[in-house]
Amino acid sequence: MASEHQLTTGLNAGDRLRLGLASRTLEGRNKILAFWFFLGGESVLFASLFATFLVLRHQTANGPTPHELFGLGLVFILTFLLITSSLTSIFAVNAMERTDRKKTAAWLGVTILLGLGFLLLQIYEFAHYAHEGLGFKTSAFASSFYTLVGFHGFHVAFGLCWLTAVTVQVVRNGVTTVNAPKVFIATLYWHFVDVVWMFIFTVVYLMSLL
Amino acid sequence: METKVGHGSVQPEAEGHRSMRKHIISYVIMMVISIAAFLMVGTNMLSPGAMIVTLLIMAAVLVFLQLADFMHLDQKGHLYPIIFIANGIFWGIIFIVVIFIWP
Amino acid sequence: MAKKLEEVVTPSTPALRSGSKKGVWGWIYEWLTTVDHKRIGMIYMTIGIVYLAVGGIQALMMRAQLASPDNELFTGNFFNQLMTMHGTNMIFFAAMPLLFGLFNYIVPLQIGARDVAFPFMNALSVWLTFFGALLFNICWFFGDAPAAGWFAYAPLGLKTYSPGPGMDFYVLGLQIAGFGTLMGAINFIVTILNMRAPGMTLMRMPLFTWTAFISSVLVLFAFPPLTIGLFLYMFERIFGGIFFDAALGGNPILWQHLFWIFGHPEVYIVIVPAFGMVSEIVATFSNKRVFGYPTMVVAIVLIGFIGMGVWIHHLFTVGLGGMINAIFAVATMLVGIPTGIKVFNWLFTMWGGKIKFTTPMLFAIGFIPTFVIAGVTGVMLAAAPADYQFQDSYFVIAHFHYTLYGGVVFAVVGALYYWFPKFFGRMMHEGLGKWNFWTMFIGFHLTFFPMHFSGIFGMPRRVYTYNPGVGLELYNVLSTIGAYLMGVSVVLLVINILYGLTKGPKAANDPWGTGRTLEWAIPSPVPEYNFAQTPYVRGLDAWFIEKTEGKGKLQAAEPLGPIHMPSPSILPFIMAFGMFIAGLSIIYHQFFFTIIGLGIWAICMVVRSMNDDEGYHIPVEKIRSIEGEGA
Repeated sequence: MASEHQLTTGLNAGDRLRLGLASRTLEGRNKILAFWFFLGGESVLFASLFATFLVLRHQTANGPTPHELFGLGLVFILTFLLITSSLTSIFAVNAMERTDRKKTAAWLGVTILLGLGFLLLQIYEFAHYAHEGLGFKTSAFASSFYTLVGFHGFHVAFGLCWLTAVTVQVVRNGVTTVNAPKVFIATLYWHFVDVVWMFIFTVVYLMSLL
Repeated sequence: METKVGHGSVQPEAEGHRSMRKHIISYVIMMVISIAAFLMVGTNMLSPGAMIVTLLIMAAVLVFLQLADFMHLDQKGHLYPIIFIANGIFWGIIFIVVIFIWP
Repeated sequence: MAKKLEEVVTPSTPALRSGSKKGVWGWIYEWLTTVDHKRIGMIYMTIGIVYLAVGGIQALMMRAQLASPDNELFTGNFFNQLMTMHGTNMIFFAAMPLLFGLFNYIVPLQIGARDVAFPFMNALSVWLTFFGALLFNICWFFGDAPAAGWFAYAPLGLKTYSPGPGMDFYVLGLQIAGFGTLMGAINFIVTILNMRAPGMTLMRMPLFTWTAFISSVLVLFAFPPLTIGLFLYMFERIFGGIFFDAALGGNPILWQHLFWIFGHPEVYIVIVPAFGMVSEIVATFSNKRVFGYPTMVVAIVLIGFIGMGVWIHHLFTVGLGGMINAIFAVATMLVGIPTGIKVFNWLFTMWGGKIKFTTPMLFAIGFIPTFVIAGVTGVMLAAAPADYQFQDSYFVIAHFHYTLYGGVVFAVVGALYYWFPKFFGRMMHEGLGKWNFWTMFIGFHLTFFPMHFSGIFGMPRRVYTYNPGVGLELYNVLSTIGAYLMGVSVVLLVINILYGLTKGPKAANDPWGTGRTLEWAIPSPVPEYNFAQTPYVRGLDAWFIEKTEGKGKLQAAEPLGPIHMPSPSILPFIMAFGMFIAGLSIIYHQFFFTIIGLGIWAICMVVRSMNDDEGYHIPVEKIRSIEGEGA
């Protein structure tokens, strides 16, 4: 745990961050930087999954194809839910800057609900595809589709647990220099999950239907 | 808890109403582009090749807005986050392109 | 929650003695709960040495088999298992832990910090590495070891051709260790970028820290593709997914891409720190600043960057096509330029310096021509048309052992000798060290130099025997003799370590006399808090500046005060154990236990998140008593 007494000299990477309460302590700045670096690695992680999907997307064997399965309406709702939840998470961070415990928790709650809506809808979507004959083992297309979109869904689920844990801490302890970085980073993660979805709906769903 | 030595240079800066407006504008743009993308594909507006290019550009704009605006990359002190995410995106694109063209 | 003076537990590193008097179990518990970067570094290095020995024995078994043609000691599938275990152990569980161990111990000291940025996550990293290595190596006890090589090409490693659980141990063991490695890399990057002492700009950092930084950046970007590849492998083998099996619509080349996108940067991950160690050692024992520091830094960054984009040279003979082969051949050769700059800079550092041929210096000097040979054969391999001749022959084995052993191992052993007095406050035996060096150096070249020839003269890789009368006997006999000589040298190393721990002459803070960097300014062994007061850094080679232009001690950047330390925790060990359970249970399709294992992890994460423990303080009186006069 880095000491709050650490000297800031302007020479270190996080010294010029101006993110309010979240970047006030060395611990907070360390966490924010660490998280951005982690996102750099996650970019390559999802790039590998996209590469896999792109290579295998035509191998539909005798199973269902994208044209038979994908419905634009549902995918649009998923997109709307996620982008909106990204916005509400910003409202939460904004409330946090004003050390408004109630509003922070409330907006985090809305974010979680929207995210939960996304997750449940996606689970329904997968169940529907399975019912239509697209099992995990049906074809290389199936395996790579479920893996890519499923990994994203797992990230959503993990993010919901994370946001919940952070919300609980805000409710219990209020907005503090210990909590603020956690809220900030959890929402950063949430934005990134949205970034990945933007590529998913473009490359997996929209482009498959061309 | 807050006995600070040399902490003077780290000033708190709360987000004002001005930046909230920026975020909402970004959100509206994102929704408009998303709707446009879905409509374009749904109505088969252009040739497949043209739509692929357009869709990729649209996705890039969406991602740029998320990173720059929602995730604060346009604010001060974010040099290293930008370097690392740019490097990640750079190599990500290279890996995808090479694997895609030479599977 | 202020603690009284007597209650404060301050295990002083290396404190192979315990700080508190609780007996053996107390001592073990201290090590299981430590979040101190110095102790974590030692755990890493111990893991590394253990698996160096395990992998080494596997190598000696292979060399015994290959000593003569048509031999029947270790044949067929068992030989393939030895080969796979040897390679995987050496890279993932010997080299990486040794390097991460050195990063852990030395980097915070070199930048004037008290610990890494995230001590808890640091502990988590080492225990994940420990359990990943364990999971991988206990496969023998379950009746089957992986036999598809450390690169596990499909479809050989898939269920059809590897029906036993061996490959699953490979996949899960590497995956778990990989999580730890990734976390460790992020930890080092943040530490180096954000926790340098006042006055230390990036261009005043020691070169070892620079290489730790670039190596960690490479880990950050190179491990995720491996993570995905391993997940796909697992999904295919355990859940029937279709990714790599061509018969079912998959693509085996996809695995090669994903693996080598990781695999090539991996070898730069291990060699770049070796460059850093050589720089430190050569400068210290030439009593001269490294020649061309800025170009050294640029070279490291370039090597790292280029190294991420050359992986196709492992697929030259797959048939991807002339254009891509050409592009990546050129890219691969480019790496020789910054590397060459470094070699010349080391030579220019020594030129005109007052050279002391200590054991670490011998290893560093031995590294240089050896690595040049490695680089030359690397450029030969990079010529794609020539690679059609070299691919899958012993020539390749020669090349990568010249880089990995003649490069990484020489540097690491030299670094162990160099920093041993800092870790333990005692010196290793110089005479025995020289025997160690010469047996290792001669043994190494005797083993691997002939392989260039056996390779060009037609001996393929990964074969458990060869025909008599085709001209391969002499080379193989020489290699086997050399290998056993290397075995002797490792025994000497272990003996010397034990000697140093027990009987070695006591060492002061700067035992070599010509230390240049901050770690030599503080006592040996290093106190728990590293620096009584965070130092103010006035330039490159900060300690050397204070010795020659200053008052012979560090300038402080803050007043003496109680030092805030993080509390130890058993959670990292438990979390890593949970992952171990999850991994083992997946291999045997016992998914109930997988949920238990992952559940342990999740619960511990929540407990940690809700934890408000603010650590403890080391009071000023204790600091003064450790520092002695003048604190």
